[in-house]
Amino acid sequence: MSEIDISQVDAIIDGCGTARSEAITILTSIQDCFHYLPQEALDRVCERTDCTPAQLYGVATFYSHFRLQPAGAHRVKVCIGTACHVKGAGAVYDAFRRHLAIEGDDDTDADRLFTVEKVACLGCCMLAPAVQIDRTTYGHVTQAQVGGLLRDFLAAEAQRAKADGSKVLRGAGVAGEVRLCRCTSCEAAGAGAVWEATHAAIQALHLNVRLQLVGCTGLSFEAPLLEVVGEGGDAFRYGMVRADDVEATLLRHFQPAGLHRRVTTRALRWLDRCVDSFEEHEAPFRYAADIRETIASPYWQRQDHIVLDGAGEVGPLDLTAYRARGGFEALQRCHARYTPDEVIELITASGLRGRGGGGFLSGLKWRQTATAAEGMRYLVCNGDEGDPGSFMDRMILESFPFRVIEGMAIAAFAVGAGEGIFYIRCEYPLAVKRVREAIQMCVDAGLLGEGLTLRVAEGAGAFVCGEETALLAAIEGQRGMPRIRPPYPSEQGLHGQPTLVNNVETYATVPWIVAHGPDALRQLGTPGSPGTKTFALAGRIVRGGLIEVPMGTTIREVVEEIGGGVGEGHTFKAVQIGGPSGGCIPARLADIPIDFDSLHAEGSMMGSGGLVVLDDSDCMVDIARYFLAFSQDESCGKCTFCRVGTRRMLDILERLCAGEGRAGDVEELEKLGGWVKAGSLCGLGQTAPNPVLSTLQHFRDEYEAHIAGTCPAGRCKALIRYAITTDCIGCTRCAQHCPVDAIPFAPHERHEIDDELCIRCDTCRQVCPSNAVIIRSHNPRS
Amino acid sequence: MSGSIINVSIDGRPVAVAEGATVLDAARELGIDVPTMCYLKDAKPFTSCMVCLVEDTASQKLLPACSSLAQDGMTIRTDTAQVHEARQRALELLLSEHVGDCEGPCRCACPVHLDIPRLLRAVGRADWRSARSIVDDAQPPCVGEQDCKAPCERVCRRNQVDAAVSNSHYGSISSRSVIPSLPRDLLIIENTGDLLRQAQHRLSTSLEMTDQTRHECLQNENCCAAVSIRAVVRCVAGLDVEATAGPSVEAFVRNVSVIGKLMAEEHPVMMRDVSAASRVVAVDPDGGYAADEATREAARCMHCDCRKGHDCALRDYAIAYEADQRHYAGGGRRPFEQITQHADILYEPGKCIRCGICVRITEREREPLGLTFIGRGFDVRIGVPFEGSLAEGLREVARDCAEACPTGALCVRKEAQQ
Repeated sequence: MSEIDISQVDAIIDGCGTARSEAITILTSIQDCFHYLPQEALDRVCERTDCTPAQLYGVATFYSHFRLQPAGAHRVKVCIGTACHVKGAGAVYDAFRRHLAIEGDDDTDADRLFTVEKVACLGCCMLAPAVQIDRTTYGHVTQAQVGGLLRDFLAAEAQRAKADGSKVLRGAGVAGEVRLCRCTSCEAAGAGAVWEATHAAIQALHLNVRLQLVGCTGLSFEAPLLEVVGEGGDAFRYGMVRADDVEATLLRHFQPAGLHRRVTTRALRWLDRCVDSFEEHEAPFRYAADIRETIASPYWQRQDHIVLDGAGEVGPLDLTAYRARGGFEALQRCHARYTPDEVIELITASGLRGRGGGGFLSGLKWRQTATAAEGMRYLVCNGDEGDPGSFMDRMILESFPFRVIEGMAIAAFAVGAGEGIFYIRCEYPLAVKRVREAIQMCVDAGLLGEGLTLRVAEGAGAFVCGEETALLAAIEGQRGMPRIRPPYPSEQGLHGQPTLVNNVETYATVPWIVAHGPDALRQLGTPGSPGTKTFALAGRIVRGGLIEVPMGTTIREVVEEIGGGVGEGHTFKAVQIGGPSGGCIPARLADIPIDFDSLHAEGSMMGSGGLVVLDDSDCMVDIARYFLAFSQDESCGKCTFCRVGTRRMLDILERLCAGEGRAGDVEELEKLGGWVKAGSLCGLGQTAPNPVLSTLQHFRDEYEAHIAGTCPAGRCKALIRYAITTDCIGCTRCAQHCPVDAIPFAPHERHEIDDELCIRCDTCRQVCPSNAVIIRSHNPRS
Repeated sequence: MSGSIINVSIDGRPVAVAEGATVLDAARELGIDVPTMCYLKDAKPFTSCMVCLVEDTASQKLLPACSSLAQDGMTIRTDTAQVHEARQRALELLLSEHVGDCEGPCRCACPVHLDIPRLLRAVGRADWRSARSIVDDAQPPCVGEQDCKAPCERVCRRNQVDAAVSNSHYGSISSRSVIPSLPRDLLIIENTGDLLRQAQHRLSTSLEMTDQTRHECLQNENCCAAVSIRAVVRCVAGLDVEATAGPSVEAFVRNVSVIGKLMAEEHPVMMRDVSAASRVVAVDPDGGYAADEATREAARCMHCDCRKGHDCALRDYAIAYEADQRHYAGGGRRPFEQITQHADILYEPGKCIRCGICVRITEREREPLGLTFIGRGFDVRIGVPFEGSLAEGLREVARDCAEACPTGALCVRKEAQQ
C-alpha cells in the first residue's frame, strides 16, 4: 500500500473545519484527492476533528461514492437508471468488465487504469445507455463500442492536458450568435466536441460570430443542439450536430473573411473525409439518418414554460440576461412591498404543491416553519434527485440556477431563515459547480439581501437521502438514515432547528408565482394540482427530453404528441411514472390526466417526475424486478420491512425471472408488498412496492406467464433462446461481435448459435443487417 | 406549550401523558404489553425492529409505538388482527435471515427435550449438582437407559466433524454410577423456594406458552408449584400434542433449525474452544463413563445451542406471535460466524437484528472505538470501526451490550456458574 502525503489531509481539514457535521465534506475531499479513502487519512481525521471513528466509518461505508480500496486512475460509471436498463445497460457493464478482463469481486483492471462501477442514474436518460468516465459523460454506448470509447477517453485526456483554459470568444461588433448548451446530457451527446469545433471554426474562418453558452432546451433527443442566430435575428436550430458538421453549418449563415480561405477550407475538408473513410471507425455516438431533422412543433405546442423559461436563449450563468428577463424582480418586490406573512399567503393561495413527489401543500409547510419555535431557521433545497429515470432537477440546476436561488431567497424571507443549503447529489458535478458560481455572483451583486447565506452541500451517493429526514442527517454529517415524523423538519429539522425543505422545482416555481400572482398559477393545471410540472421523458420514445406541461395533461398527449410515440414497429405498452416510488400505468389508461391525485388513484405517484415509456418489447416483471432491486440496494437498512421485506420480494421476483417461480409466488408477493408498504418507516420503504403492486394490478397475466415458464416480451434471459433464421446472409457480423464466441465464423453460410455458450447479451441481434437473429421462448422446465 | 397534558385512548382505555411521551409510554402507563426489541430505555428511539407496531384508529395506519409521539385525541389499538399479523410478519422477516439455532439438534431430537448441551457443560466442569437438576427437569418420562435410543447422537453435529458426543450415558444420569462419590444430599433439591424458582423459570422459557398463560402461571405460585410443569414436559415430549393450544414443540423443533447441516467452512468456527479429542471409550463398558471420562467427553460438545436461548426477545416474541421461521426463508443461508476476539463476550453476526442498541450504548458511554453500522441496506452489519477487533471496540461496556442485546448476537461467553 502506498504511503500518502498527510499534509494534503491536513490542508483538507483546515479548509473544511473540524465539526462533526463536516464529515461528508471532508471525506469527499479526501476521495477527490486520493481516489479512495486511505486508512491513514481517516485516522488523521479522527485525530484532528470531532468526528469519531464510529461516525466516520459508518458514513464512509454508507454512501456509495466512497471507497476504501484504491481505485484505478479513472472511474467508469455505467448508468443503470431505468432508461439505460431498458436499453441494455447491464450488457454494457458486462462488456466493460469483459474488455478490461475484470473478474470476480474485482472492479479494477490489472493495470489499475480503470475501475468499473454501476451508478444509480446519471440523469442522461434520453441518451441511454450512458456511461461516465471521470467527469466526461458518453451517450448511446453500445457493447461493441466499449474498446473505442476507452481509447477515445484516453486520447481526450491527453489532449486536455495540453489544452489551454480560455474557451469563450467575445468580440466587438458581432454579426451573429451561435448558441449551444453544455449541460451533462448535451455533453454526453457530444456537445463538448461541437463546442471545440465551433470555437475552432469561428477562429479559422475569421467569422464575426459570438459563441454563447446557454441553458438547456430540454430537447435531449436532438442533442447537441446548435442554434444559429443570424444578423437579422433569425434563429435556426440544428439537431444532433457532429463536430465535423459545424463548419458547413456556420458557412451556411456567415461569410468567411475571404473567398480563397473558403475554397481552401472546403478542399481540405473533402480530403479529410476521404482519408477518414478508410478507417473502420465506430463513433461513440449514434445519429439519426437525417441529422437535419427539424424540430417537431407538437413538442413545443403542449408545453408551458415557467421553470424552464428562457431555455436555449439565456446563458446559465448570465446574471445580466436573467435580470433582463425580470429575474430577481420578484424577490425585490417581496422585500419592498410584502411582509413575510403576505408572501406565505400568496404561496398558499396559489395552491402550489411540493414537486418532490408527495405533493404536500407548500404554503402550509412554509407556514409551519415560520410559526415554529423562535431561533435559527434553515432552508434546504432538496436536489438529491436519485430516482433512476429523472433528470429534471439536474437540468434546472444546471440551466437555471438563478431561478432556484431567487426562489430560495423568497422562501428565506418568508420563513425568516438565515442559512440556505443546496443539497445536490455528487453525480451532478456540473450542477454543483454552476450553483456555487451562481451563488457567488448573487452575493457579489448584493442580491440575496441581509442576513441570508447560501451554500452547497454535496451528496455522496444515497437515494434514501431524497427523504427529508435522511437528507438532514446527511447534511449533519451522519449516515443518511431516516427517522420517524413527527416531529417534522418544519418543527425540528437541521441541528434541531425549524427547517424548510423543498424540492428544486418547487423553489424554481416560486418567483413566477410572486411575479404573476397566485391566480395565474391556478389558471394553469387542474384545481387540485395547479401549475406546471416538468418531466424527464425517456425510454421507448421518439422525442425524449425535459418537458414542462400544465398539470392535467394526459399521458397520451405527452407520449404521442410531445414524445412522438414509440418507435416504428412497436406498440405503446405502459408508462412508468415516478421511478422506484411510482408505478406503471398501462396504455389503456393513457387518457388519465397527469396530476397528483389521478396518478395516486392508479397506484402510481408523481415522484419527482421521471416518465419512462415502455413498449411491447419490455417485460413488466423485469421492470418490477429492476425497480425493486434498486430500492432494495438503496434501502438504508434500518427498519425490518424495508431492509428484509424488499429483499424477500426481490427473491420472489428473481425466481420468476429465472423461470423458477412457484405456485403462490404471485399472491405472496402481493401480500408481502402490502406489509412493506404499511410497516416501513420512511417514504422509500412505503413506496418501494409500488412498481410491483401496480404491475401486478395491470399486468398480472405476465406474472402468471412467468410462473408457467414463459416471458411474453422475450426479455428474461432464462426463458429465451437466440436463434438464427434462414434470412441469414452469412455476413459474419454476429460471429465477429459475439463477446463469448458462441457463433462459429461461417462466411456465406447460415450462422448458428451455440446455446451452451450464449449469454443472451443481444449483441448479435443488434448487429445483424438482415434481422435474421430472433428470440425464441424457451421454457426451462419442458 | 410544553408540559401540557395529552389525552389518548389505547384499546379503549383513556390515559393522560405528558407532552413528548410516546405511544409506548402511554401503553405502559396502562399496563398494556407492547413488544419491543430495538427500544433502549432513556435513549432516543431508533425505530428499526417494527415489532411494536400499533394501529391508529383514525387513519387505520400502523405506527411504531416506541417512537410515535402521543397526540391529543389519538385512539390506538394494540389488539387488532392487523397489529398481530404485522408483528408476526416483522418477526418472520427477521427470522428469515437469522443464522443460528435456539437449541442444539440433540435437544430437539430428544423425546423428553432434555437440555443436553447445558447438561454436558455442567458435566464438563464437574458441576454434578447442576447436571442432576437438568436431568430432573426433563422428567417425566425419564427414559431409563434401556429405553433411550439416543436419537441425540444421530443428529449431533459433531458427526460431521468426527464422531458424535456420547450423550446416552447422561441421558439417564440420575440413575448412573457417574456420580457415586457425591454425597446424596447434593443431588436432591430440598428447598421449595428453589423448586418454585425453577418451575417459574421453566414456565417462563417453555416453548409453547402463549404470553397470557405464561403471565397467569407466573402470577399464580400454586399453579407453578402444583407440578403443572410436568404436564408441559409431557407436551414437550409429544405425548399430548393434540391437546396443546399453542404450536407444539414438534412444530417448533421442526422450525427451529436454520443451520441444519454445517458447511465445511463452519467446522473450524464450531470447533473453536472445543476439545478435538476423539470420542472417549469407557474403560468399563458395562458401567458407563467414570466421572473423569464423562468430563472429557462432555468437553467435545460444540455448543450448538444459543447462549441466549432462555433470554432472547426474538425467540419469546416468535413464540408468542406464532411466527413461522420458514415463511420467508429464501434459498440458502449465510454462513454461521462467531467472532471470538473478546475475552468476555461472543459476537454472532448472523443473529443480529441491526437494532443498534449496542451502537447506542458505546456512543453514550464514550467507548473510544465503539461499534458502528457498516454498509447499508440488506447487507448492513454491526462491527468495530475500521474492522478493528471486538476487544478494542468494547473495552468498557462489553457486558452491558451483551445484556442489552435482544437476541443471541452479543452474548456472554461462559454461562454463569451457580
